[in-house]
Amino acid sequence: MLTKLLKYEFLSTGRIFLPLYLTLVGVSAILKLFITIERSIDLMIVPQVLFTLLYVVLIVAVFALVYILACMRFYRNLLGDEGYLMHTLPVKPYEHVLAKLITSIVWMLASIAVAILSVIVLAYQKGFFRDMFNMLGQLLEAIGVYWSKPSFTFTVVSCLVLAVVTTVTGFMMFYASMAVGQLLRGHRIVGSILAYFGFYTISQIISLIMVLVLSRTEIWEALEAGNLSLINMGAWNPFSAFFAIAACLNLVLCVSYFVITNYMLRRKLNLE
Amino acid sequence: MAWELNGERPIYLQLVEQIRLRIISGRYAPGERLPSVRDLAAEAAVNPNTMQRALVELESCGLVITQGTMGRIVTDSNEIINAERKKIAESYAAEFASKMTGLGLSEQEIRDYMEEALSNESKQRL
Amino acid sequence: MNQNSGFDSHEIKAGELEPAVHAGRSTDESREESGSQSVVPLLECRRLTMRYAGNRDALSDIYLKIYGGRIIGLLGPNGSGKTTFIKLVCGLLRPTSGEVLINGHEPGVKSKLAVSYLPDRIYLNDWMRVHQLVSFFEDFYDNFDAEKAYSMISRLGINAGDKLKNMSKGTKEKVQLILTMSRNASLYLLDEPIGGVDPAARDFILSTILTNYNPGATVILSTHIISDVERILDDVIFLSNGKIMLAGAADDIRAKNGCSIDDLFREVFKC
Repeated sequence: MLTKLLKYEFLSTGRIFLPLYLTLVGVSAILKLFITIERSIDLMIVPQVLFTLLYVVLIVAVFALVYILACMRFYRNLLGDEGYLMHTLPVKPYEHVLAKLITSIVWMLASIAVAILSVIVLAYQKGFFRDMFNMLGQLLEAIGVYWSKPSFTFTVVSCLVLAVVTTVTGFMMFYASMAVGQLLRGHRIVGSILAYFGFYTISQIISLIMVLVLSRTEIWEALEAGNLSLINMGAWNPFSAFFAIAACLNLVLCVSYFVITNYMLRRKLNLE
Repeated sequence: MAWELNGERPIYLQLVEQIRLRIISGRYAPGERLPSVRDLAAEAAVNPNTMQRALVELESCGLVITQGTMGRIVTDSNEIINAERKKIAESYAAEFASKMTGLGLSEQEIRDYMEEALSNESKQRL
Repeated sequence: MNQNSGFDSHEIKAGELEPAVHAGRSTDESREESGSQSVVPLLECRRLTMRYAGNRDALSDIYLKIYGGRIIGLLGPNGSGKTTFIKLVCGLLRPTSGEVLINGHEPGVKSKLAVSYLPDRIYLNDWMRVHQLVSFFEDFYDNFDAEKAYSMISRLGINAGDKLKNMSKGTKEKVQLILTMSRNASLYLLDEPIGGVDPAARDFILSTILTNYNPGATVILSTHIISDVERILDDVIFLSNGKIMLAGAADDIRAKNGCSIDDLFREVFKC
């Protein structure tokens, strides 16, 4: 059932993202054209400025839309009139939530990819790819040197993990807020905003506690004493420890949000 | 001849009456196979269960016979049909008599009215 | 036992009709539950209560047993709890107390497969075309009959390539009805299907319900407009302020009260 849900999620959201992506790439191509011609014709300055503006707006839009659409889709599809259709499907509530979450993550990755593509289009010149590959080669060499040092690898990996977990938690926080907000009959949007502030406050308090706890040096010593025997000494440096612990806390929050959302949809659903 | 049903009396009774009339008038000929319960119900725009009940009732007075899974047929016994016809004719006549008498007409006036109505009816049917 | 086309007539004995709707804690109807009805009821409610915030009981202490093969009218004025009842059966609401069981199970994935629900609003996504909606239903419900759906759609002259949002409200409602009735479900719940609908559309709806009739399935129709609908009802349930006032076979009620269900309704619910 989950795959079927995903199919319709992408069908519904793709109608908006795909044209937007095409527009973005198209605009960057046109802008590139202007930049190339600019050298020969002075008149092109006004359209070029306009298109630069358009490009910036589109880049922002492409990322903002991932969140905006995630919220709108969740609200309309699961809490609005369409909820009468969705919640009477022979599907478990958590599958609905998972489908929306996966879709949002995919569009986020897609937006990043398309943004990079548009930058490539803009920056392209003869020998671009050759230069890029050379630079990439040099970068990989440098990484190769450092990769043997566990502190480096661990820091980089934990940083990436944190980035991913934070994004996912970000989506779940919106979903959970809406799931809680619908309890406030008649004022569901207000309820969602209040719930969001509530969750935000809680997450801020947790991160504050984490920072305070970590800044006490006894903890550092304990970490570096290597009671985690799997990791080489030095892998747990202040940065990687911070990232790792933050990632774990975010994961806990994320799972909590998922549980809350699922519970609300399963037991406290109130459409209309 | 459309099905005329109102909600004030049990629907199944009204169906019994109307099917009986159709049999007596020959619209459903003796021995003819009746449409299925579903089709009859759809035609009359009533619930199949209600139509079923009506047909069971008709069966119990012999106007309709069930042939296992093959459905129902109208009885081919003219005796039964004639007996039913007689019963209804008697009740129509009794109703007519009591209503007309209730208007305060004399017996002769009642007969005159009836003859006129009959001749009008036969003119219409020509 | 009467073996007739398509009917499981264990409930019909010559001249007697066993009520397939039992309401009330004790079966104080004169007919006893026969051995043949020791099957699990299609729908059963025990002490079913729904209380919204503010201490208002939308439904209170409902006892009900419903079996298959019936067309049942859930009748009551606005606010009597009809929609709340239907939502509870569909699993769109959780009861405050008591239970509702479909084929013996609480509302869940299994019951949602067996229940086909038509809400009283437009609930399908606007941007989809009719044939996409048919595919949608086909994808999620393995008891969906796409052929039947398409034949009804073409019979109404609806173009399967049209987008829902370009249709009139009446046509949208017909599409929704077609999709609901094209499922081979055990329980059909239709919430106010004929409210605010023109007579031709109403006739279409009623005849669709009748022609889709299947002796294993029950249709529960909720409405406050009774005169148009009462001739197709097997049984009726009168709901008032969240309580069942009356439940039984329609013809029995007509015989007992000497008037139509509509007349009785007006009498019972007059202000």
